[in-house]
Amino acid sequence: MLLAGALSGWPAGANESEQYSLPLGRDFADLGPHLSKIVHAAITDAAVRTGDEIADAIANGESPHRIAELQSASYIADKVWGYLFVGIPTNELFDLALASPPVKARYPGLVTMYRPPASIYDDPLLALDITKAVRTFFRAGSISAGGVVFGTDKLVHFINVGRIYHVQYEARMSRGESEQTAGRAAIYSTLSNPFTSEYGLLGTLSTGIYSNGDLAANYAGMLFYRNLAEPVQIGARTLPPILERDGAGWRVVARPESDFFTAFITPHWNEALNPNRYAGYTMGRLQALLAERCADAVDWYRDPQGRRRTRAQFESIERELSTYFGADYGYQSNSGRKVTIASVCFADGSDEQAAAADDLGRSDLWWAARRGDLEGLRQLLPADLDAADADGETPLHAAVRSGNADVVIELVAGGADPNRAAYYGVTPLLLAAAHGQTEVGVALLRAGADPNGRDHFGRTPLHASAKRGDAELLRALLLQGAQPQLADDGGATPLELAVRGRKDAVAKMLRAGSGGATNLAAAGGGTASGGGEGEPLQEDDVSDRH
Amino acid sequence: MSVIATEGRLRLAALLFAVLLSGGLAGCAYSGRPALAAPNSLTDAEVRGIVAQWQQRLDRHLADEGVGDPAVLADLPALRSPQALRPGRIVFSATDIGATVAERDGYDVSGLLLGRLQGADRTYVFIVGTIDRDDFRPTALVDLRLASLTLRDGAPVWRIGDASVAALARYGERAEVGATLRFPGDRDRFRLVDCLPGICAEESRSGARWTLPVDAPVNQATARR
Repeated sequence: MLLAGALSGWPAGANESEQYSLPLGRDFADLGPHLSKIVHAAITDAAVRTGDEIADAIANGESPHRIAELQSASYIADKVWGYLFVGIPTNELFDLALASPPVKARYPGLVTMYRPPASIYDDPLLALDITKAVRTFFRAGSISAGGVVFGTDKLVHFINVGRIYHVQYEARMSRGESEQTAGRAAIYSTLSNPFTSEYGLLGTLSTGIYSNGDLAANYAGMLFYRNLAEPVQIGARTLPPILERDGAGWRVVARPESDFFTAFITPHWNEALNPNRYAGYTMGRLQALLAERCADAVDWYRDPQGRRRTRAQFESIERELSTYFGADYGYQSNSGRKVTIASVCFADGSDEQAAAADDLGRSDLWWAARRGDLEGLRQLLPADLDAADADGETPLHAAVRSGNADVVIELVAGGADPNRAAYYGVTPLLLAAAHGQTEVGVALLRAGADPNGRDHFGRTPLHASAKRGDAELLRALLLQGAQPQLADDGGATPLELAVRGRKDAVAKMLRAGSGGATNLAAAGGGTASGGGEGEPLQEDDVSDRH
Repeated sequence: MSVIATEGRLRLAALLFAVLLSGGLAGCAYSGRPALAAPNSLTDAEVRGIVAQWQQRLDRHLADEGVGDPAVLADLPALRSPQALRPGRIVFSATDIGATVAERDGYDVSGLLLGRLQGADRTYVFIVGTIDRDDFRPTALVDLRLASLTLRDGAPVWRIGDASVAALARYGERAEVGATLRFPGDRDRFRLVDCLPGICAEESRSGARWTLPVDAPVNQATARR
């Protein structure tokens, strides 16, 4: 199986993408929710299939050893790998699917997948370079998810080589080695392989490229497979297990709309921010080709506030991405000449940042809220907590977009107005409902947010929750007095949106909610004692979900 | 475990075939840098034709995603992207209008929703920008004008305003030097302003102003419902 898995990593190793040549003047669609749905479906299918196998084994009286094997974290990881492989078999097929009319229609005017007409690897002057043929034939498109632009080959690395790492990791751990030693052994088991490594036939040897982005995706994949059954650390965050034991089998606890998957997609996967190590014979020409793209690349990779980054900032990002939040993932760089934005695009020494004045009316506190930076925000208090930006969004709106409930709670505790509407009449609660942020939504309800506040389309938070099928927040809204009979400007009620979207559970709650809290309880939507209309919600009304 | 190994081999065989096939297809689809497109020189009728295509795509989006309900505009995917500098703005874009090769040439049209007018009719007002593309990059903002969408008995009724050369030039003077051309710009501040008769909008940084007269001709929607 390992051999099959190892070889299945082959296309990933042979494919190249680059994020210097991006679609100018266009915006990428955020495919995070799309990818999360695919991955969540694979995990769910694996859990169901494994549960069936365990049930059959028990019914057939198979040995306890066999049943334990079926119940192991290793077995469910292998099943998940199998279903992920079916979902995303190769990056080429995935690229074609993303570029298909049905997928593009869901993202009007946005780029779902991009293959540049002229990559830095297409230069005719490199015609005598035999590795150019490999780079030209095996190409991966660029996509965006979770705010990161990366090649789809990274997904194949994540799924396949990540599982190879994970098998190695499990083997070492079963021998009693430490987590750190097992992790290192997993990485270097493939780095020393002449076929699968970035040094070997499928890396430097055939393409002239040692891709740090590929290695980071491999490493993230290993963490993902571990995260199926155990908590893992990604930077400052601890991700709870995606699955938990449920009787004899497994149950998926991660919600499909959460960032359970996109949390693994980091800037390490972007080959412009985390540059490759190139074979020396390609260096000069690749530098020249990047130089042709410098103006566009520097313009593209602005900081979150929309300012051009300096050379020092690009170098800082490179340094930061040379480890995976402090862990070695096999990163290598050229020692002398480099093909990086910092070294090529700032060669003349210019290193000035564009005017820093924030002409969008966003204060430091606003940005701290946007980052979800609780400590940074506290240091800026007291301040005007309702100062809106050019689009009418207050620090509370910004905090909602960050998804950090603690920052939201801090702001409302400090006196921020939970009902201040932004442009188009969007309240923080409506924004939270539209983004499926249950914990944030409940915090706002507790702070006195109007559950019936409407935007310029006549939508209420209930419309947004019904459309997403967010049963938990919808229940909290109903218990706080949200009116399910309100129609938006198009005449649609929340119930109609739920029925249209086949959100059966919330449709049932909405039908019951029209009859009051008692009917809601009977529909499985909570109890009257759990917070009746106009009453404060109880502590256990919303669990801390992944 | 033998079953799994068999599954693995089958997957591998399918994989190798798929890679070779799709790799070949990809190699055919993306090759070479095309020649330059002709410089832009559009008449008002041509611009109206381009904007009408944007209008039709928006109508189709409302029909397909929201059964005609304009509230689906609030759910446009771009608004959810963590990369968006201005996620609070609603922009509907139609790309590659009139393009002979996708992304290489043609026009990208984007409409920024300015707001809803108060009144019996539900009227939504957009400022619509048309960008000319050449050699795979945006080269010029060739037109800016107002458009309004009114829903009458569930059917969309459009009014498209006139161009203003002066307003376009004034707006263009505030464009960020060296930045990739976009509409709307990252720093733009458009807003509806009071004026009679009709609908007016202003970009406050540049002071550029556009008007949509109440008697502007109506463009009936052509999208399927």
